[in-house]
Amino acid sequence: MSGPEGRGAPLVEIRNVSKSFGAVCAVADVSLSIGRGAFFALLGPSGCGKTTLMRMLAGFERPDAGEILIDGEEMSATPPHRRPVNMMFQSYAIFPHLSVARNVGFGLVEMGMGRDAVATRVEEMLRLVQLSGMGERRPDRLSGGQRQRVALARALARQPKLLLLDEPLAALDRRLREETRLELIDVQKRLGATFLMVTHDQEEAMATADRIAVMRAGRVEQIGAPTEIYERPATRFVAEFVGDINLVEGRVAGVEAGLARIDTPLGALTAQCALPAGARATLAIRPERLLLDDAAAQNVVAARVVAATYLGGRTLLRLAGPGETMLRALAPGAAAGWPAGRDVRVGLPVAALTALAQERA
Amino acid sequence: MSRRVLGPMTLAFGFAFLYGPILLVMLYSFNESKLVTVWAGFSTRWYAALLQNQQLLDSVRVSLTVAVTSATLATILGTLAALALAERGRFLGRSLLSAMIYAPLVLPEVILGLAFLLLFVALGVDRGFWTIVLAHATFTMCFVAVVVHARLVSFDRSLIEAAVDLGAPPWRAFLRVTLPISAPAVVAGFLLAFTLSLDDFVIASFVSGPGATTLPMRIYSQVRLGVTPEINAVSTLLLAAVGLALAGFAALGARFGEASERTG
Repeated sequence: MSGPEGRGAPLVEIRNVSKSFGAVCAVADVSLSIGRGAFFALLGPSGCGKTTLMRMLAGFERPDAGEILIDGEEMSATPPHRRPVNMMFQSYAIFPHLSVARNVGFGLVEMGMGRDAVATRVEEMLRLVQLSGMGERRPDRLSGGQRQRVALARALARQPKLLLLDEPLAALDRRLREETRLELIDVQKRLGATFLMVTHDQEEAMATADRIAVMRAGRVEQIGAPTEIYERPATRFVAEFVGDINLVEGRVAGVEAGLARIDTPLGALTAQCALPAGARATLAIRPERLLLDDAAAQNVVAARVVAATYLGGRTLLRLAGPGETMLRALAPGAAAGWPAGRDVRVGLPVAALTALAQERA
Repeated sequence: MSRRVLGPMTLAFGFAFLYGPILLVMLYSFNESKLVTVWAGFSTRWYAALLQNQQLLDSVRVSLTVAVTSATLATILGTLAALALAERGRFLGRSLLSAMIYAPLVLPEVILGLAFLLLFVALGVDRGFWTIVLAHATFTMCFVAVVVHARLVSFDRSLIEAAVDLGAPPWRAFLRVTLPISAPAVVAGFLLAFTLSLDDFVIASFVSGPGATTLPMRIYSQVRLGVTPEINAVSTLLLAAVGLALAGFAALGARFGEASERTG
């Protein structure tokens, strides 16, 4: 799927890993690698196996098959407390009976570090997450955002080769989430550490990670940079899961010089397509990539405005094309220019059209 | 009558019904008169007399030693049982154990007492101090297990995983996280076991032997010869001891209730 990335050998290599719980297959033959210094996201709906995959990296679950290498070392025989990996739990798992400083220093004590060295390192970590001077606080006196920082400081204190983040922002409110997201990226870049985040929130994955693996039903659907995932989804599932998208069913009529003519209810459209003639294909295009009333546009179809919703700054249009095929388009400005029933010529640029193979059943 | 009057009245009636007889015992322990039913003024002479009653004092000592010893045993065994039950892994006989652990909570004490008696007779064990301790430890450890188990299942399992993730081998995670967090429940379980042992009459009377008369047994045998104000005095002291232990249990319960809200 994805080869080694970043500088030198990848930090994490997951090879053909499978894991079942009873009859339920949580992870099915997953292979991927994570480069050093990467901010990697496992993205998918709940139950897609992303959390199980992460727990296998931490050592809390054992793969039924396949192997996991961290920094070149096979991990299957290494118990969780000896792995060069730390995890930030979704619930943060702050020890309620210990002060902030003792929480952060917990793992350092286990390393056999002396009292003074622990104190210095704890102070350093608290400064990193902007909690200086809060060391003596009891965890129940902390806000949600502060608890998140304590959890981060505690997980980073042992300087793990790999930091696992389980839905790190899910427990925060929306405003705090954006701020914290930037701080996470900042901390990661400053330490040059490798982060692996698990999330079901595609926006969070897009905004935070530099590489994303989209998972579904225990399998990896696509691995790539956020723009790749968004602009060139590999499967219909990825296309629909990540952002808003228009999907039009069709059949490849003919291929010429890498460009295919595809018959769809909208008419014959030209798209880049690797599928052979006669194959069923789904054309995907993001709402913001539709060109409205653009004379120079390719793949122009006639449509009519059904409804316009002002989103603040932009307007979401629902358009009815030939054969009553519904399209969603984003137009700049207010809804006033788009009364229902207005005719509009919609262009589907070849560069923005992705042809997807028909899903396996 | 309006709701505002009826409510407090019902409450007062309920309290009177529950605690009236007990209050009467406490009141008459401060009675000057030797006649239990005639009030003749306030006095603490029966408490002084109590200190001269060697038989009663002996049974107080027996009761306290039995209670402390059996509660300690019950706390260790009950906590271990709770830990086994709280583990997510399955083991042979797990569901049987979890059902059986609750059984002594509802079994009639007479039957428990009889069962212990038959067991000790069959084993040819001389009945006395240690048979009471064993019987008490056995039936109170179930209460400890229930209290500690409730605590263990209510706290976030990821705390233990976090400790392991931070480099603590499982036994260190137990010492540094599981034990401190469940400590209030363990102490509460001890107090509960202590109280149950202290005021048990039925089981003790089945399994005790010569020289091991507990306080409730002594009180019962003396009352059969007539209630003396001394009995009222010692009963008041027993009530105070049990009351203190229960208050401690309630206070700990409230504290770990709060704590689990915070972690939850």
